[in-house]
Order: sequence, then C-alpha cells, then structure tokens
Amino acid sequence: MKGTNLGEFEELVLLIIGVLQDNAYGAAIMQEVENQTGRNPSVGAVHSSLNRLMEKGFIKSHYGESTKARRGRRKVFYMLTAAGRSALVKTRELRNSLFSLIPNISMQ
Amino acid sequence: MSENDDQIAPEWPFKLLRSFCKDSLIERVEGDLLETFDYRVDKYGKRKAKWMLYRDVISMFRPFALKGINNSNNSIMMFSNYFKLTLRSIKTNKTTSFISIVGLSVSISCCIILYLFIMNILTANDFIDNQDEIYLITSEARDVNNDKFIWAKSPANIESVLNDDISGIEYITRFTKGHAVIRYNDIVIEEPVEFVDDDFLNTFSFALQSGSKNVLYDPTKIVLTARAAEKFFGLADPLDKEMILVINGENIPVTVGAVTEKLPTNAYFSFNILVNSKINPVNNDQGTSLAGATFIKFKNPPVIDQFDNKKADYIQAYNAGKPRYIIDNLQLLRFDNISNTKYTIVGNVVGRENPSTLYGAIFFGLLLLFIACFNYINIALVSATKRLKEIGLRKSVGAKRGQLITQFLSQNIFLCSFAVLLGLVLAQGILLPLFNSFFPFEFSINYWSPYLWLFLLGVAFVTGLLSGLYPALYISSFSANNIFKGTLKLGGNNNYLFRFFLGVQFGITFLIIFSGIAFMSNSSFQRNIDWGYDQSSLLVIPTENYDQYKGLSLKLSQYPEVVSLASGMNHIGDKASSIDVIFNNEKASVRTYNVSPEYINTLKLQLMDGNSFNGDKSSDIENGLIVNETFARQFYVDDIENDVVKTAEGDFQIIGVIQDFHYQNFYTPIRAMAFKIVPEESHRFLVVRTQNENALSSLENKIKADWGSMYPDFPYLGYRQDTIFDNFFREMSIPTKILLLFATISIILSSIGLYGLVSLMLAKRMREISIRKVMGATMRHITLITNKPYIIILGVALILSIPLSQYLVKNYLDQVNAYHVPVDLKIIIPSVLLITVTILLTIGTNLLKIARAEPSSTLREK
Repeated sequence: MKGTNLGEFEELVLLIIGVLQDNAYGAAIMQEVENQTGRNPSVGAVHSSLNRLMEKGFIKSHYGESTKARRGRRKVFYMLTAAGRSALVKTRELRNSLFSLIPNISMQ
Repeated sequence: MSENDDQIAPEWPFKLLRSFCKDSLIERVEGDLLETFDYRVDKYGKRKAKWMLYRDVISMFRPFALKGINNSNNSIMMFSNYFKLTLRSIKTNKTTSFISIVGLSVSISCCIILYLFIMNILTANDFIDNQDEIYLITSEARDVNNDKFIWAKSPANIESVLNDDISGIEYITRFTKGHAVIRYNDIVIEEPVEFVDDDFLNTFSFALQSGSKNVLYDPTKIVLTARAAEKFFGLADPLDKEMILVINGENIPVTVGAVTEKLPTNAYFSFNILVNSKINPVNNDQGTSLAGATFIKFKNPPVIDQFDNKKADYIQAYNAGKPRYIIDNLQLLRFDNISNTKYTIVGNVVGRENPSTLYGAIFFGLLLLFIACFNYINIALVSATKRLKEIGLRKSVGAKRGQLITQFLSQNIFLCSFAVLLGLVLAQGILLPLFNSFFPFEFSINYWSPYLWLFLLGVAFVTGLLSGLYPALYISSFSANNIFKGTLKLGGNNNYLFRFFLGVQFGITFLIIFSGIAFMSNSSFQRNIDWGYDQSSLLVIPTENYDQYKGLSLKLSQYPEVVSLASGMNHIGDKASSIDVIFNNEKASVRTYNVSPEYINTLKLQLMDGNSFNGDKSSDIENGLIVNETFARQFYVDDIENDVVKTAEGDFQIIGVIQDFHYQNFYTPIRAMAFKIVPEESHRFLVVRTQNENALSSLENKIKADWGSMYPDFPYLGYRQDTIFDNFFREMSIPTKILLLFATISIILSSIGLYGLVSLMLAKRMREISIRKVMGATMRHITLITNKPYIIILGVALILSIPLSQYLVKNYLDQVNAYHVPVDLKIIIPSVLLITVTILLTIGTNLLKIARAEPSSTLREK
C-alpha cells in the first residue's frame, strides 16, 4: 500500500476540504487555495492531490448537482473521512510539539 | 454572467483533454475548468484566463489521469505474465527455442568480442590525462619528387630554443625511437629504446608502479615498462639496479629510476625503455637532425600564436642545412586529434588502428547478428502455426492487434535478453580466451563499465525488435474467423518475404565462407610465392662494427659448411639505401643495396642480361650497377652496354639486369631497385650459403658459440633468410583466423536454422507425407515435393552471391596486397561444395526421420 504521509500541498488541500465543509468540489477548492494562500495551483495539481488523498483513504467523494456555470457537468464533492481527520490532527500535533522544542523562536 | 459566456471558452483544449484523459475524470475536470475559467475572466481578464486554461489542460497530463493506464500494477502484471509465457514456450518448444537462443547468443558473444575490439580502438590512449593541453609538432614536408606529406618528425633542435622563444610552455619532450644493446649481468639483448627529454613523464601521465615522475631529470636514470622490467629482472625489484647500455659501441652505465604499471591494452602510444636524449650519441645539435616527435604541453592558447610567429625561423634554420626532405611548414596538432586526422601522418608514433579494420569488424559483427535474426524470423514464422489457435482465441475475446504485437515483441525482447546473458557467459568462458590466444591482445570484460551494459541492453532491444517485428506484424494480421474456419493457408511457401529472408541468410553465409576460404588459400599462396632467389640454406649475421664484421668473416671462411660468403652494408629484407636517379630531368628515389661483388651469386638472384659484378674489374666496383627488370622498364634501358644511368651521385654503368624478386613482403608491388658495390669498410651484414639445411643448422650452432666467446658484450642477431617474412605472414594470419572463426560460426548457425525450419515444416506435413507413403510414394518423390521450395531459394541465393562475393573479396585483397591468390574457380568451387554439402546434410537428416517414421503411428495420433 501507499504510505499515509501527507505532502505539503496535500495537507493544504485536505485542510481546505475541511474548511469548505459541504461545498468542497474542484473549482471551489482551487478558488479557496487562491484566496487563502495567494497561490495559483493548476487543475492537474489539484486533481492529482485529490486522487492521492482518495488512494490514501483520507477523503471520500459523491456526485452533486450540475450548474449553469459548469455547462451541465455535475460537481463532485469531497468530504473528510475519519482517517483524514485524524491525519490532520496528527500532523498538527507533530508540528506543535516540534515547534515547542525550538527555543526562543519568536525572538529570532 | 452574461449569455455569451458560453462562447468565450475555446473548444479545442477540451478536445485535447478528452483525447488523453480518463473517462471517469473528464466530467469533473471539465466542470472545474469551465467554472474556474468564468471566475478567472472576471478576475484577470479574458486573455490571461485563456492562458491559464491551456496550462491547466496540459497540467492534467499526469500518469494518474491518463487513458489506458488503469493502474500501474496492472501493466507490471501484464509484462510479468508475458515473461512467464516466454519461459513456458521455451520449455514446450525445446528444439526451436534452443536453436533461436543458442544462435542468437553465439552471435551476440561474437558481437561482445567485437565490441571490446572496437572500444579498444575508440578509447585508444585514453589513460593519458589532459590530452587537450598536449600538442605534437607536425611538419609539412616534401620528398625528393616534391610530393608533399605530413610528417610526425620535426627538427630536433627546436626543443632547445622553444623555452627561450615562447613563454607559457609547461613541458617539452621529444620522443625518438631507437635501439640499444642492454647488458645486465650475463643477459645481453638488443632492445628497442625511446630517447626522450626530462619532461616526458610529466607530459604524459603514464602510471608508475615505483619511482618518481622526475627521475628523467637525471640523465643516468632510465624508465622501464612493466614488461621490460619483467624481461630483465623477473619478479625481483628492478629499482636502482645498474645496467649497461651499448649505443654505437659506447658503454654507458645507467640505473633504473622508475618502472611503469602494465600498459593498458588500448595503449597505442607506448614505449619499452625510456632513455634521456642527452645520452643519445647521435648528434642532436646538427641543424638537420630530426626528432621522431616533439610534444609540448601548455595551458594557455596564446602559445599557439607565439609558435606561429616563430616557426618561420625554425623552418629556415632547418632548410639551410640542405636536408634530404625540405620542410614547408610546422603545425601544432592537439594530442586527442592525432588519432582521427583525415590525412595520414608519416611516422606517427602515437599509433592508430587502420580504420578499415574497424569498419570490417563492425561489418562482420552485423552480418553475424543478421544471420541469427533471420534464423529467428524464419523459425518464428513457421512455429506461429502452433500458436494460431491462441491468436484466434485472443482476437475473438477482444484483443486488439496492437496488444498482440506488444505481446509478441515483449516476449521476443525477453528471449533476446536471455540470449544476451548466455552470450556474455559464452564470451567470457570460451570466446575471449580463444581470441586472446589467437591474437596479440589481452582483452578482458570490464563488468563495471556502464557502456558495456548499455551496449548489451541495446543489443537485446535491437535484436528483439529486429527479429520480432516482422513475425509479430504477420501473425497478428490473421483474422480470427479464418483461423477457426481453417481456411488460412500459412507457411513459408507462399510468402515472398520468408523466401527473401532465407535467401539473404544463406547469401551472407556464403559470403563469409567464401572470404574465409579465399583468405586461407591466399595464405598458402603467399607462402609458396617464388621469392625470385633461393632463400633456403642462407644464414644472415648482422654485426655492430667493422671489427666484428672482419673477425667473423675470417672465422666463417674456415668452416667447411660455407659454400659461398657475401657481405654488404645493406641486405635484402633488412636495411636498404637509396640513390636518386635523374631521368627526364626529374629525380626519382630508387632503392639500393650496397653489397660485395659475391652477393648476387650467393643469393642465387637470376641474371637475365649482362653479367654479375666482377670483383677484379675496377669499373664494376666504382660505378657498376645491377638493376632489376622493373628498373630497366621504367628507365627505358635497352642497350645496357652504352646506356648510362645519371644519378645525384654521378653516372653509373649498368652491368647486368636481374629478374624481379621480392625484396619486400607482398603488401607492396616490386619497384625499380639496384645493387652497387661499396668498400668493405662499411660492410656490416654477412650472408652465408650452405650446402643444405642440415649444414645450416650445424653452422648456426658453431657461429653462435663463436660469437659468445668473441663478443660477449653484444647480442647475437643472426637469422635465417627464409624467416624474414614471418612477421608479414603473422599479420596476414589475423584476418584469416577471424574469418575462419566467423565462417565456422555462421555455417553452424545457418544450418541449425535450416534444420529447425525444415523439421518444423515436415512436422506440419507429417500427415500428408504418411498418407503419400501409404499410397506408395517413393522416398525420392517425397524428398522432391517437400524440399523443392528450399532448393530453389537456396539455389537462387547461391547464384546471386557468387559474383558478389567474388567482387568484394577480390577488391579487398587488391587493396591490401600487391600479390595475392587469384580469386577464381579454385576458391569458388570449394565454397560452393561446402555450403551445398551442408545444406544437403541438414535436409538429409530430416528426411531420414521421415523415412524411418511408421506411417500408421503418425496417422493414428491424429
């Protein structure tokens, strides 16, 4: 099986899916990434991350409604799974504990 | 959002996306693209949004999104499945697989050897570092006929002035080959030595096993190669041992200062014993003396300009001494360019292999590989009948043609990889030791070289594709319908390409066999060429100086075995001189041998006209000339009594004309040459004729013993006259041996290929043959109907390849040898016989099987 480590961009996408809650589909994720970070990821980058997150079992997907803006194409919504949530928590804990080990970080 | 937003988004990026993207992804990706596009038009404007759309479509070109690759595991499984299938088909078709794999691996092992050979040539001298900083001074010179040539030699005195004239030169060294007698304890041998200057080891990075690079700064130190060291000292440490060099009769004590590592096989620039030029007794200060080669090493290119500015002075100084060869120009040639100049460098010391050897090696390697590939193609085509049902089934369950081709090709490449590995084992185990024992090479396979593995991979891939492509295309083209209906007529008989392959294969085999036989008969032809004089029972003893010559000739005249005794400053097959004949106001350099009056009769040279030298006639001795037929023809001598030959040294009178004889080996044609008399003081060679070979042997033993007691400080260098072409014969035997090896391999390959082909074909028609037998067909009839197609193909191939082979071989021999065997029926008939007998034997063994087979058992089986 593939490893369950989170890459930097994967983690970002995973967090955005959590933020967007019920409205997490491809275009919305891209816009949110842009709004939150100022980065302009390509469709390929986002979908390849989504594909990997699916393979790792961190998200699940279901088809939703179609809109006029999508010229009749249906949306695919993504949701965090339990494994996805705990992966986010674990990453955060690891970050926090490492962060606290750096002495006087705010001074520098 | 307005109504005409729909029209803004261009259509073609979506078409592109659909062409490569997985169906399951298209809907969501397209939706996202469209929605993001609208959003970007509002935010960045239409132009930028379009660019971002293109970028996004291209960004989808990733493995996870591509069509056809469902899952990376799946395609690995597919290939491992093909691998398994290949192993199984090898197991089930033992004979045919054996033939294919062994055939391929034998020819691949030959290719590996050729690869080593070619790499050795291509990497020549690559162990020398900083080749781009080393330059050779080449001369544009003119010979006596004013013909220009590029010379490796350059005026010897340049070395001494170069450092004062030009700034920035790091090292300068000359390199002049010579000979010296070397004495160590009781060993006395004449050895080639190389006279070099102090900087030699700093210029060229020869690896040393002991001693330092700077030893040559001390002129009493010499440097031995590992091989020379072993010759004198065996396993003992040679460092600081004292030796005596005898050069021009002078004893010079030296000590061993350094010993090199064993020189690599690709060392075309090499040496035996390095001696400092300062102890070279040949006077270097003379303006016209030449160095064998002068190398300079420098880092900054302005040195070249400085050299070009100064060179006129050097040329003038040299030409002022009125040398034999005028030098027009001097050029600096970079070391790494020396081995690939378009022109030949006369007297090149760096050495290079004749490019035709290289092309020949590549040509024959490819031929062998083709034979093995054709074998494979033929067998694959015929054995496809066994797989027809498999192909039909796969097609009817929906396999596409491309998939079948991929399958066949990948199976084939697997098979070729086995063959490559087996070929490597064969090369290492059998062929390489054989090759090294045949030829003066010491090749070894370096398993760490990435080029080797790249080459092997390339061979596996190319042979796999080459031999597999046609069968794969052919087999996959059948329709499943026809296969199951049984209406498909498969088999070589109707297939022109198949006939073509078989024909080409045997044509090539014939060419190789023909060349092998031609070269073999050429060797024996050249061994039996009449040399034009009686070379048997002749002993030649070169001496070092007049005292030795005189002492030995007195000794010789006492022995009863000596029938006649002659001497000379020169000797046929050894040293020669030349005179410039002036004819039609042009100078022509003519080879001359300066000898004693008895020379002509002692060698039994055949007089055609006039007389031999008369030692009592002063005119004979002063300006008599005996010339060969070619001389007489070239300079229109018809009346020898009255015609005077004008030369640069004065006028000569022709006394006699002798038949043309081979004074040189058979590479070069016989040219005009002459004998003349010189005073005894300059004689160094003694030539002795004995009654017969037995007398010669006993005389040789006596002389050797005498020499040992008379001149213990000098090596005995005597030889028999009939051994002078031994080196030539040895050189000629190398291509002969290679070709014979190739011929053997190719005939074995072709015949096992044919065997496999015929036996497969017969197996297919076994039922038909059995029925015919039951109905009373004779063996003769069966032979005829089953083998007619092969006999016709092979016959046509043979008829076409005879003139082609004759043409190619004759051309090659003409280019290499001035005197070679005529390429005629004496070579054609044995080659044709050999190949016909092989074909008939191959077919015959198969027919024997049929003749013995019980019709009832074959018929019952079905």
